[in-house]
Amino acid sequence: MAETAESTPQARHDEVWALIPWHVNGTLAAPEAERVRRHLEVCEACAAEVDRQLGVAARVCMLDDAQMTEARERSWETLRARIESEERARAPARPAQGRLAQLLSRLTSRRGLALAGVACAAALAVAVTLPTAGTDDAYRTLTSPASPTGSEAGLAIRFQTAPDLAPPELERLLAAEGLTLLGGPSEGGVFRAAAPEGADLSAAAQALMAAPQILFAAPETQP
Amino acid sequence: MQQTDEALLAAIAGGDMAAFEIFHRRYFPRVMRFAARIADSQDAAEEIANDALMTVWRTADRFEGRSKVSTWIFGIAYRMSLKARQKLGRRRNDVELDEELIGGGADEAAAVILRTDLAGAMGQLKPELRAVVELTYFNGCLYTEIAEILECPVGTVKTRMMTARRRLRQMLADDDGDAMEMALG
Repeated sequence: MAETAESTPQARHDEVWALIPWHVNGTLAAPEAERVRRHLEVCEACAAEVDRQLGVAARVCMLDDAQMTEARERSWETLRARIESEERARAPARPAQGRLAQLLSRLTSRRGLALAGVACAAALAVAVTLPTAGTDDAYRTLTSPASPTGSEAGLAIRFQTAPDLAPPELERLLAAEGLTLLGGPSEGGVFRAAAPEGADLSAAAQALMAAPQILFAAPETQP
Repeated sequence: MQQTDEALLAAIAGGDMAAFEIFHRRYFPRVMRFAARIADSQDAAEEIANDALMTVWRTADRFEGRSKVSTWIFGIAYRMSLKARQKLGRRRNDVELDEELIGGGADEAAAVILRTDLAGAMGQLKPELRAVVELTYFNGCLYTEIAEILECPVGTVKTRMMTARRRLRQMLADDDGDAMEMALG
């Protein structure tokens, strides 16, 4: 194709004519973009077509933003409700239990996986590592405003663990990076950990995520 | 710093609702608009966009990174839109109408198409043609990405785009453009 385009003016014209939309949207690779540019310098028909397609592109991009914002918000509420409902359906029915036991249950589960029968032992282990004031029981997302506890300076990281990560192992991983568990997991399975003053949050999150038991870690966003 | 689509998808695969919220905010408008163009229904489009995004939530861990994330989600939305279109009974008679319009010349086209704006003209195109125009001009996709999304050869994408351009120009009664293209053969 390239050879033909080089050898025949009509073939070159046809090739450029076909590529004009992607010249207009700026996605052509450098060699193609250069061929188009050179041809446009000498071909009025193609140059006029570029102008025409720029007009079409501009009109295609017109959107009713207000309507879309409304639809997007409605959609997010629908999806969140759908996901939470699926999570609840997957989670085993829990007998009445204390708040700490529920937290522990979630610590050893992801997306509602069943709690292994070691809740009491785990409860003891996490009772040591989980400061009560820092629990993150309410539904939160990475885009939720940061809670004041432990993150006044914005030095918090949100992360998710593998479902079978034992509390002592989590504690060891956090300690290795100088992090302190603030709370979690949220309904979405997100934990929060504080980093020392002056720490590079991104680097700490990256280091934490290097552990295979950590599925995801990122600095907490601010409101 | 904005998280990449790939990073968000990795987080979503781990069940991170916050990452999913960001992904949703990034993609919902584009996917819904694309679905509306293909399915020809604003109501269906919202549902399609929701379903496509739920598919992302449920299957993010299966994304292998062989294509761009945007290519993956638009591919999902495209197939869902075609199914919805079928379900809504929007059969391919629009294609026949389209051919008749083109065959009948600009005058006939002008008489049949009440609104000669771009939206109206786009509505007269086959969904396959509309998809290429939308993906090119609204979503900024290269023809190779469009070929992946629509699961067709690159040559087909270029041909569809040429056809769409020609038909849009005719339906928009761009006489100068018609004359130009006819002169060019």
